[in-house]
Amino acid sequence: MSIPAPVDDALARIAWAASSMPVLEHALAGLCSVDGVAITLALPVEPKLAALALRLHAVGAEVAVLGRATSTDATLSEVALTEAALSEATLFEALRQAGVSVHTRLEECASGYILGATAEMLPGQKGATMQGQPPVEPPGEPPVPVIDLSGSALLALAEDHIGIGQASVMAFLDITNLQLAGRRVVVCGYDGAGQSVAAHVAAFGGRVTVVETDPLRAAQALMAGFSVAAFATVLPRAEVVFVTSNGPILGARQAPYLADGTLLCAAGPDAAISADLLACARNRRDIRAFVTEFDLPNAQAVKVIAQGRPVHLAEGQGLPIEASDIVLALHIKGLDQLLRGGLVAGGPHGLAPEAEAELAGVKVIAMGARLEAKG
Amino acid sequence: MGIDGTRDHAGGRAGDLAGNPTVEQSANNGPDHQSVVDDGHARIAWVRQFSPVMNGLVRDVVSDGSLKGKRIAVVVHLEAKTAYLASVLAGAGADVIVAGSNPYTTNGAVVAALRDKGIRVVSEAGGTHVTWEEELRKAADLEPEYIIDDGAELTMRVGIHRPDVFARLKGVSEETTTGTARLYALEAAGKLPFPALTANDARCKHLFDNRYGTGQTTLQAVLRLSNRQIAGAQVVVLGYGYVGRGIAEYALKLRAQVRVIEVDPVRALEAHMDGHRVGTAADLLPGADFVITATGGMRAIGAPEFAHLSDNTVLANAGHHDLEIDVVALAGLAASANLATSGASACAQPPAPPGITTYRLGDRALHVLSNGALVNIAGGAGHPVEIMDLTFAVQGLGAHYLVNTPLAPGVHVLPKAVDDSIAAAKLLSMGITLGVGRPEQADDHGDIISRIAT
Repeated sequence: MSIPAPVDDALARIAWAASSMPVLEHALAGLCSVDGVAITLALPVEPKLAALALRLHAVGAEVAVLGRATSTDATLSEVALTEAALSEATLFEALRQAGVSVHTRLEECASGYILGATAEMLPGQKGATMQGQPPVEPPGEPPVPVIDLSGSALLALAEDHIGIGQASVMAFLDITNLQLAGRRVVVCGYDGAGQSVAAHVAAFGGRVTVVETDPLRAAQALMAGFSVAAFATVLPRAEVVFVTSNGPILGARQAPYLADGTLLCAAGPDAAISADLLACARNRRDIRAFVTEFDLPNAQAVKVIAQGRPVHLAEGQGLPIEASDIVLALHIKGLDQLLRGGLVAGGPHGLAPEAEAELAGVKVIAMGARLEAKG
Repeated sequence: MGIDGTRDHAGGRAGDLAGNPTVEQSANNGPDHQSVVDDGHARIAWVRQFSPVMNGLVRDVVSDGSLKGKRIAVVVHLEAKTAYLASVLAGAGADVIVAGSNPYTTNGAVVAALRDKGIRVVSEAGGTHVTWEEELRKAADLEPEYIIDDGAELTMRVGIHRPDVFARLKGVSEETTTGTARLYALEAAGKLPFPALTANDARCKHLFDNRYGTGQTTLQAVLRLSNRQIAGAQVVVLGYGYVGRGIAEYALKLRAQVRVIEVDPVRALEAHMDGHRVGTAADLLPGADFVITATGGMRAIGAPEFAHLSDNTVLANAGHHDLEIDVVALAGLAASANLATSGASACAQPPAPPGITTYRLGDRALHVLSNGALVNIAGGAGHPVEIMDLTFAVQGLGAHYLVNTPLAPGVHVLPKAVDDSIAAAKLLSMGITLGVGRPEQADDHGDIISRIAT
């Protein structure tokens, strides 16, 4: 239905991103030879990732990009699919023309190293970097060496504390053309992503209430100046709900508490409005680009943004460039650690602390600041 | 919408990607595609859902029959929010004529939906300044009695093109600071034969629209077009009026470091106490990541200022004039810089994404968003719906006031009672009621004054 944007458009976006990623540049400059090494990029496909793919390709790696939005997903509305796929398809075409392989299924990618793998992608690989859940190896298989970035403070800073908050809240505002000022906003889960979403909502004047099962996180939320309450109390008055990946589940059981007209939105790369909740919704209607309205059993109509998928990926834009710069650089440092001398045994390992400190130092300098000398 | 960096009413190109395929348009009846009409209705319905003041107070007041048959031209950026104002006035029986106030912000789907409602629209999406001038002349030829105007664009053209219609105009309600200044200039020149209301001077307009509306959506558009991070960024705001204050406040809350360039010492002191760095362009521009103009004047950033900018700075304009960033001067500087470094390197530059124009001055790249046009409209969806609910309440009630109140020719301000009623209606829509002051709570200065012997 839409006119595909030319490949030039994708190339321009890639070049724009590439020109502002000094930390990634630094990491790539220090990367050992990847000539002939098969590398699959399994992170969300957007211009920053495409820029990385081209750089790895340029130094001889056998690069494959694993797309997701074009895969057949029955839960996607045509609008969301078209927009996400349009953006991704243009990037894919640009990558293909540059000689990078693009696949939608892992089986089509040469086995080697995966950046941004999930546990089920691991079997048969030589190594991987992961930022999400810790890997669970199938029994009987030799464990695959994994650099687990989930404990990286720098990753938490770039992706959770800054990136997800800015990207999700701005995408919400862009999609809805509404304000958050004065709105009663619920944030489900107060992990890193929840904290940054809450902070960005508050920056725009939203009144945040956090829903948490974890008492420590709840205390953190209270001392950051937010309210904490249970679903039954807070949902009937909520106007906007942000669901994160590590919060209490907003499912069918909570559906009766949702107020008529509530806007529901998922924040974070692994976040989603639960299938359980969407399963009890009826009479789906697309009322605006990226906004679908459903009727819940109690006859309330709720508005689901971006089909309940991560809102910051709805238009294929992803994290801010500076956040991706750090995230991708961490993956490259992880790859370097895997490739250097086969020092990494099977199973998960943290990123070397000196590698993380090195990247943080590059970022500090890039922001125009200077460190004091030690001792 | 989407991948070209613009959305909603950001011009014909955006409209195309937003699901308006190129459609054949008959002369007056709009496109023949029901899907386009439906899209426009859906956009307007979304606005209605979040416009409690328009739905309640405004609808109630204007439906008293006094607008029946009154010919009112609505000339504001022609997208869903404006369309809803037009629908409400038409619903009250007014004979509404709609035109866009800018050739690049007219949304085709919204135009189709308005025509489907039987409202006359003289504008088309995807126009140019030439076609826009024609559209405004068409609007003048439809002989409006009242104008809800933006920048006094139609009012001034009616004066030139149809002096007879101008002489018969019964009233104008004006949206912007710039248009207000133009109306005062007309009055001073003895050329304002009708009453004009300055909607912009209503507190329910400038306190919210200029500050929160422009502040929020300017940052939205800047971050959307550039995909850059704002936390930790150095953001320079030029001008500390309502618009500048809103941008600076939101940028600070999003954890940017904010610097303000202002020539008015009182405003500069206010910026300082708000926590921003204040100083001259030479002090504050070096090292800036984002530079946003909000002076309401022209050439806030010109040749002398470009010299102070660092490599990779993003420039955007939030003020009324498309000329706050002197793009012509910048292009000239870039051309001569490229000549100096021989043509070859200039040609090898990568293209910039849509909405971004990169100028190279030697080893520095300066990026201008939306060619220096109002970035929140040219590169975004314009103001939030809830803000326009207030602004258009001022306009709708302003039109009603003009129709029902005998006023002398000249510039008038909306009565405070009307302004107050809008804010009270907004609060009430959120379930908020206010207490009433008791007599003993008032300052007893009257008593004190009476005791002073004369």
